[in-house]
Amino acid sequence: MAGIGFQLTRLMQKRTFAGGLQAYGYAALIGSGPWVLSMVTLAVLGTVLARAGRAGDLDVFFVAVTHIFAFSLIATGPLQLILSRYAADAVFARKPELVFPSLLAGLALVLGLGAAGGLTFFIGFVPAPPLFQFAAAGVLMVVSAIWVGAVYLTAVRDYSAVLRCFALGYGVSFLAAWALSRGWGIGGTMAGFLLGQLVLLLAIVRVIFAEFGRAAAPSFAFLAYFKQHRALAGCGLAYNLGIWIDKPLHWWFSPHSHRVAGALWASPLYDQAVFLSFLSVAPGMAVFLLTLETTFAGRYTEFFRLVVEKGTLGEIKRTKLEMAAALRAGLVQLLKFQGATTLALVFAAAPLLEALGLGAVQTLVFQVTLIGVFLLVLFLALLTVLFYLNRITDALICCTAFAVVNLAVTVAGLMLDERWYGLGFTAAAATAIVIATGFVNRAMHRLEYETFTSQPLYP
Amino acid sequence: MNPPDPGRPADVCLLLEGTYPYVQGGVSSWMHQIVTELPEVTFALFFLGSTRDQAREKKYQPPPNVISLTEVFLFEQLPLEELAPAPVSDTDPRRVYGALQAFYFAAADDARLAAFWGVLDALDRVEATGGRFTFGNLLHDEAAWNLLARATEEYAPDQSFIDFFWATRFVHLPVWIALQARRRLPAARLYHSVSTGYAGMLGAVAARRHGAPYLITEHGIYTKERIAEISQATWIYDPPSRYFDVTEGLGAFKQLWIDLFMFLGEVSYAGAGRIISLFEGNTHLQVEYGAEARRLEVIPNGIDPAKFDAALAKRNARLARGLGDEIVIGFIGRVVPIKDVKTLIRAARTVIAREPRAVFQLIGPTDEDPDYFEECRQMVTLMGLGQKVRFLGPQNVREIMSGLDVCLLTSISEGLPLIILEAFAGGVPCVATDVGACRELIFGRTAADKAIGRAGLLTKICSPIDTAEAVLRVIASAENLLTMGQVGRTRAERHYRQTEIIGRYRQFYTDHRWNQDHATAAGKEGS
Repeated sequence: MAGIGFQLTRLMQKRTFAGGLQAYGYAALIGSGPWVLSMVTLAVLGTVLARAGRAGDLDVFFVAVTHIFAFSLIATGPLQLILSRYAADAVFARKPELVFPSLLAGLALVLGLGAAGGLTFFIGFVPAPPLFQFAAAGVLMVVSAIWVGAVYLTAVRDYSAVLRCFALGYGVSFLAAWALSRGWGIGGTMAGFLLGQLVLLLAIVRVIFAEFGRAAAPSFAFLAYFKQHRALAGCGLAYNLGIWIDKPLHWWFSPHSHRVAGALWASPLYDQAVFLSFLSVAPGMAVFLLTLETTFAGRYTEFFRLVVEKGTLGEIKRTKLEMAAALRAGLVQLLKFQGATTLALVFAAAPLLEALGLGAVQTLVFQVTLIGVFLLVLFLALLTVLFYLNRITDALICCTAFAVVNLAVTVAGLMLDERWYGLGFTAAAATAIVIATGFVNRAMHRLEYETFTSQPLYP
Repeated sequence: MNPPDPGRPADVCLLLEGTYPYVQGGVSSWMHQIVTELPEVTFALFFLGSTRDQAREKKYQPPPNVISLTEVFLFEQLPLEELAPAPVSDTDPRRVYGALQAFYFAAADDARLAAFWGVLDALDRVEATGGRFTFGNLLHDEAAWNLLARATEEYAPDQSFIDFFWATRFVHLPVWIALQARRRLPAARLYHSVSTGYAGMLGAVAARRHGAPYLITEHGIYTKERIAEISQATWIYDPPSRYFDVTEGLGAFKQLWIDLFMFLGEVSYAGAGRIISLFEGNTHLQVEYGAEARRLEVIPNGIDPAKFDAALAKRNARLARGLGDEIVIGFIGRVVPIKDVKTLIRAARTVIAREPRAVFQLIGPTDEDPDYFEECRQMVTLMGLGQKVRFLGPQNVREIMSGLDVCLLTSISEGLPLIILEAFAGGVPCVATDVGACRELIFGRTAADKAIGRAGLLTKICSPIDTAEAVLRVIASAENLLTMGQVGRTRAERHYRQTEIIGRYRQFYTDHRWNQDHATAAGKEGS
């Protein structure tokens, strides 16, 4: 009998769906990430300090903390997303024992780099009492470590434990800063703040240990991910740059800025209004994360379940449409809540800022950046979806546009006058939304096509 | 072996799927015989195998008139440049996808066949204009996906999509590899494939490319064999039926594979000027699978009767003295289930009960299915036939033939069993089940052939009683044995002579007039 018959058996067996459904922790991380924490802290701190009235000395403390937050977030941005991807892959591959060693290594890395950078900067470029210089360097180290730890917190189920950590940490920070400032001046304030942040870091590590803890040595295996996931690391950088870049530009190039101490600059006209407007993200973030978790993520999981577990193409397409509908509903919900909050604050801006002791220019900046924050929340929502859909390159393009537009328009605004302040950030968020909408549309449209055709013919 | 020399076309290019010269078997030895006995004809061999492992060593040494050997492996991994999609800028793939669409959604068989050539033309055109179109394009292009989505809606809307997705990939993969090999087809004055399937499809492609006549010889019926295989395959996902539904038949994925082989059969048959089978029965199957009746022809296997002259003389001399103390009924073949040796043993009990002189000799290898052989042996022991039913193992057929009175075959399925021709040459009448070519061999095919008489009897399959009665009737007298034996010998000499059969292929190979009808018909189609 002629004929080869079938030799396909080997090829066909065990041929299912490779990859796909992964617990993308960084989706949530982007949404509820460290930057929200930093902005809230700065807004509260700024307001409290302004009310306290002892501006002179405390100004140095506040400005130093602002610098520390800004630079630590930008610097750890790539590491945050890389570690989160590494941890997500480890959990997906059922190797949770790899998670904790990566945290330890990540902490070691940022503590080392933070020490080098912090000591160089504060001792070399900030004339201040040595206690302040060392404590500030310590805060840079610890805060960077906290951003790294926060990556892992998104995977921790016990939200109340996380909240307790932050309450405890910031409680200790404020109390100790206040108490130590009496005997040691701004050096004591910084040292007290450091103490609280240290408590927070330890509390965070303890919570993560409870979730993933195995006694294990640090492992730097995640460093290879920087090579494999360049776009992801780029996202982390561009995204944090986009959120922050307008502030240093104002410190360094605004006619209204002043040198606080050495290399530390401040632009109170801009800074306080911007930090305050960031406080408005709370309702939008809450609503969006909720809809994302409950409806979109559910449909997303169902989509991949159907793909793997023998759903028909009709069922798969139907679920995708439901996913799109959930996304639309979530965005509409977000528009409503965040829109209402923003609108109310824009109208109440003048009396509100007057009560806080801020002036007319600051009110204008506040109003413009309020709209910017509103747009940022929408952008974040879209960015999160891009991460869910594994469109990392698309996300990188959005984030880069976000950073570049912010930089360009802020510089242009500084060359013009105060009426243009804050527009850089707002225009950047608007641009990013337009681009991200296009990408999300395309990704949703091509979802099943890309999901299937990206499967390699040979494993 | 040399690669084909484009400047020196062979007289015949043989398209060999999983057979000569690498795989042993009936088709291979037949092929080897034709090649060897036509030294004046030059041959180019085009071997299609599954993987390179299959072609490590040649089981037959081709003679010097075989001037080239090309190998293609359909289940080897694709090279990287075939896996990566060629950029769209390289080519204009729209024509290819348009042709593919026409192919997948053709309303009728004719239209699908025309669309198949459309796809090939589109692919050739891409290449002719300096472009590239790879399997990677089919894997990754959005246009390919859209076709797949539409095909899913049309043909498998209720099926597990991931299985359909992989099934479509793997159904296409070997076809693609075979079609890519069209560029390596050696130039020849005639193409001859010994099956349909992938080789048959390529034969049709080759004939069209080189404007040469195309001939198919089928020993078994490829399409039918593949369908039987697929029906029993366990590696194809068979969705569990939600209801007890006997009308549903095979799952959608098995159907997909069956459709593929049916189509390969149609392409092969449509391209061939002559379609040859070993016996009449198979021509009906070929028609069923799409062959046009007027292109069919029967050329059986042949034998050299002279080689059995000694055996014949010895046997006739023995029977001239009447029936001996033993009447020997021989089974010659492998002891395997498809030969249904158990029915033969049950029949033996009845025969021996009625004719105590009867003795059964089971000749042939017993090691292919040891369990089955053991079961047969135990049956013999349990029935107390140990003295009368003997397993002799492999023997020299020509020597043993003179000792046989009847040759018995109880197979469930057969093609054209060579053993019947050998029995005829030795003057031994046959009792065989009515399968394959047995009826034509024993009763005759054409009117002139039938007029020679009956060289034995036919029985129903799996029927010990029917078998026993047929045997008893044949061995009723020495006279009967001699008459029927003579009929067989005459039939073998007149219709199954090896030299004549080789001669018919020589005729096909050297004088292409048989293709004129087809060539003009194809010309009309083209114009």
